[in-house]
Amino acid sequence: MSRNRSKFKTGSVEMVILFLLSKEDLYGYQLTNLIKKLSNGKFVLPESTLYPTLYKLLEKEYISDYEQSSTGRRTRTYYHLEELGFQYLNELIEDYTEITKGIHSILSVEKLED
Amino acid sequence: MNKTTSLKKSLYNYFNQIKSLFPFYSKKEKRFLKDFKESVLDYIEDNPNASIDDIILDFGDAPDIVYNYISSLSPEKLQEKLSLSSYIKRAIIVVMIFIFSTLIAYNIYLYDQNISSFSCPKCSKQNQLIHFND
Repeated sequence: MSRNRSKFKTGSVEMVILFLLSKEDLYGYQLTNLIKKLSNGKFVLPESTLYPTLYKLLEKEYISDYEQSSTGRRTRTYYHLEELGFQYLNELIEDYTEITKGIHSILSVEKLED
Repeated sequence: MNKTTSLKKSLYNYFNQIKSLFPFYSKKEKRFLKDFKESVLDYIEDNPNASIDDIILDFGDAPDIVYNYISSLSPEKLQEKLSLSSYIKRAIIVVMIFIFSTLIAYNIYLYDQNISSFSCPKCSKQNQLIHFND
């Protein structure tokens, strides 16, 4: 079993972030909003969890960041998925599929046998 | 006080509270606070009538934010940060003790000098002469 499979929660957050970044470059607030919107409000990722996860992904060079000026004097930090991150995303999706299969098979048990 | 000024003041307190709750404050936490502020400003742009209560409801209160942040760190990273923070605290305490004891020693030395100059005025005059000659 890979390390990610045992870190289901962390892996899921990373997977969702990387998946959205595989569609286009996004900034922090956009990411939290998209996650909330696309999950119909069922998955809310607070900024206090989002940013440390992004920093971790940046450190591992799965993503990169760049600044772009927005309204007024403000600048926004956009995140971009790198090739290494794309490979990692595929691993995460594979792990996620395996673990959800495992959970489904647990939940389909009707009676416990000795 | 108008609404914008009051919100600015509340936000200032909100961000300061978050900052003060971190058990460690390095470059990463500084960046987090900057990014977090940007997200709050984006939220205000989307919701111009938002109050501080709306912001706290959406982003969480300061202890929640710091708790989430720390929970998101890997155990290795957390251990590294905590040990570095305790090392810095210990180093500061050692430096403070050193400065404090040096000051006490210096004061004792000055006090002794004064006492000896009072008890032997001639010696002190001689000392002064020597200093002038130097």
